Amino acid sequence: MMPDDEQILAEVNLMLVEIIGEDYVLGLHIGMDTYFDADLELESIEFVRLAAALTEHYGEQVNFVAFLADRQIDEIINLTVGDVVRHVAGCMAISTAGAVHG
Amino acid sequence: MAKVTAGGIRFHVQRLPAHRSSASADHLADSPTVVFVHGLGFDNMSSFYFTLANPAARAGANVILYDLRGHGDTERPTTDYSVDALVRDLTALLDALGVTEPVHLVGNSFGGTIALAMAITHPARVASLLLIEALTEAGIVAEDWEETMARAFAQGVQLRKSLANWGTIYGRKLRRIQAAFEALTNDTTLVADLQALPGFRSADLRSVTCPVVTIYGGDSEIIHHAHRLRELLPNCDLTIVPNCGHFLILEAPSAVRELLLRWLSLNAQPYVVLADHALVR
Repeated sequence: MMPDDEQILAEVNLMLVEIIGEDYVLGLHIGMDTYFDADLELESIEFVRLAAALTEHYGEQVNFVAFLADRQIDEIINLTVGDVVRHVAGCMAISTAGAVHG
Repeated sequence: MAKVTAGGIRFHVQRLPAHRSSASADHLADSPTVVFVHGLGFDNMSSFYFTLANPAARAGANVILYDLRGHGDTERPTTDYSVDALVRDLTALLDALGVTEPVHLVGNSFGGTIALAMAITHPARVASLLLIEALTEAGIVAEDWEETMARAFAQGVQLRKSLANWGTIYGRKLRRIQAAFEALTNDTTLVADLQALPGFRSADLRSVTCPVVTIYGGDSEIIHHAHRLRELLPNCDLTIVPNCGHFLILEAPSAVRELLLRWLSLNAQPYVVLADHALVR
């Protein structure tokens, strides 16, 4: 069963709370439109933690590092939580299709 | 996960396996290992993680990144920040990861110092070096530690802003970065250990037998280190990028990536440089 965007958002939210710390996230609403840089002030080492957490949770098919490596630095800092959720959903869809047809 | 204990220290480690492609699948077992070693102070593995690590994995290398002791998400012991200690950390980490074959090391700034020291003291464990703005002695950094690092930090912010409107570097992020830096400066022997560093003897540099590819910015304050390396290393390929300073990964990312891929294809066969990443300009 493939998770939908809403479920992935909830899971990414949990990862972010763990990475950033509950104290900071308290009272902050993290939604699809939340910016990693402007809203969450994610440090670059925290971005590394998020990338690792995504692969750990969803498996090798979610390659966030490759996703970022294809982007310019200004695109990376303007990423929203929704961009990551859609990336994860896209990777899962491809891998599910591969399992059915391949 | 992502934490590996080696020599009594808990290190933050990330690994990117070599990308499988039809052309390189046969050689998977032979995939060379590339280890990235970052610089001092405000630096950590993230400067490689989002820039050079994935291109290296795509070119067919098994990539290892780690945060030096006291940096990033690695533990911050209060003592032992000499180059010898940092080389011991690297060998202990490779042992803990079960990496026994010679590795290809990429070092940025002081990470280049550590990579060079590793090649001098453990020649059998190093296959080749890619040095980015490497320091051949750290005395100048240690003398004016806080001022040098403050300048480096400001330049880093400025560069990111001018390159890409890096955004708001205040509030939570700045407080955390400052707190980590102050702890490294005030609660550890790092600065004293750096001040006590002897720098490489010429004979040490002459003894490096593995191939070394090195890149500096033409306007870098440490450009004389480039000339010293080219003069003394038996096998040294020097590239100088005009109109750039010390922060080459930020200032000239495509030049550095291009050099990384060339270095891999020359020194770490079998390699396939995939067409889709042949070069992003």
